[in-house]
Amino acid sequence: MIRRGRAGGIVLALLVLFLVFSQFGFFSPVRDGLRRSVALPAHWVDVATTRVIDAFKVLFTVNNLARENAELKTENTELKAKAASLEALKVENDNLYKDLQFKKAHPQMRLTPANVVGYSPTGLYQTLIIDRGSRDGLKENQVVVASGYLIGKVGKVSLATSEVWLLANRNLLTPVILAKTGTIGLLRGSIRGLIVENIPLDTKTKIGEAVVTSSLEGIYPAGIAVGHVVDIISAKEEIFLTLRIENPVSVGNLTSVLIVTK
Amino acid sequence: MTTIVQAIFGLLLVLLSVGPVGHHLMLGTGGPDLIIVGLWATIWFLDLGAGIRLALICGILLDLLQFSPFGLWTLTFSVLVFALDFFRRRFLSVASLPHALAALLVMSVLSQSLFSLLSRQYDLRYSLIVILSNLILGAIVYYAAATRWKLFVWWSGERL
Repeated sequence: MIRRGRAGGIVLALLVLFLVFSQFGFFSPVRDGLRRSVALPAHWVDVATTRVIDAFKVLFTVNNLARENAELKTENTELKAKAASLEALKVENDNLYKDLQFKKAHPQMRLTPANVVGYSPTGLYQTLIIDRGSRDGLKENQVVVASGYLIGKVGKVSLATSEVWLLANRNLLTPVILAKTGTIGLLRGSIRGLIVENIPLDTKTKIGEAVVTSSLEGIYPAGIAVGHVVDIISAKEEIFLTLRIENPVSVGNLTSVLIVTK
Repeated sequence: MTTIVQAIFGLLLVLLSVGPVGHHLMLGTGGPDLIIVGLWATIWFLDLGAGIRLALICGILLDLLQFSPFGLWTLTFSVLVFALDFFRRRFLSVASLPHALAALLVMSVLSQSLFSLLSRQYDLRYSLIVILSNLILGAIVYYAAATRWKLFVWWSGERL
């Protein structure tokens, strides 16, 4: 009993001594060494524990990720559809703007708008059908324009619909003028595209020259843009020049046209 | 194929051909002639009667929709149908893909020639594109129809 008391006293004294000396940094190296030796295993345990916890977290969040992914996909699809529809509206807006510019440039003309309601089932006929007819003031041989360019003339007319012969129709001959040189020629459709024939050999025409309508036959008002020259295709031995021209209007994409009714 | 189903099929063919969808099938300057391929498929996989009915339905619809002289399309399609049936019965085997495409080739060439004569428009490049497109579409239709209705087995039985 006395020995226990003595041991307890010694331990207590030692503790007091440690407390006093530790205030002066006496045991700092020992404490640092202890801390370093414990830190590394503690870090390993921490990393392992975090990995286990993260693995369990993934299992719980996969469901949320899948739902969020599906929602984002749906939203993406809807946005793509909206973008496509806006793109189509932009094209329509551009075409209508060009039609408006054409109207401003030709204030003396009376223009009747019409929608394209059908095409020829075979591309050989080169016609399209519009939803205006004789009751709207349409008559045969009236000029049809789109996006500021001539695309053809009215062929047959019924009460509420009409047939438009496109420029590429082989039955259509259109008198045209080369804008810079003032030379008159005849435009028609051919296997090589739209060609202008009967141009005198001494005509100094260039690629890119604008081609407009001529009022020679009294059918077409003068000055309506038809296209521009892209190639001179006549052979050297021919007595007249033949030009290939390009009309920038894409007939397959037309949804509306303007008819010059007066 | 019942008459009502044929009528719906013919209506779809015509609407696709004359509407914006049919026009957008054009590859540049030409594209498949859906009505011609439809008529060929009907004659090839069914019989002359079904072909004539489809020709009349498509022809009358086009005659009503287009500005060409009334009856022109009906007459044209009827001539094509009879011509194809003549070739099919005399010279060709239904179970053979090359024979089927040969029949479609003949029908396409005939149709392009007739349309060119009637419209007085001659475009060789366009006609070649149409004929080639018809053959490609015809091959797809042949395999789809033969696989769907297990016609290979039926044709084998017929040969036996």
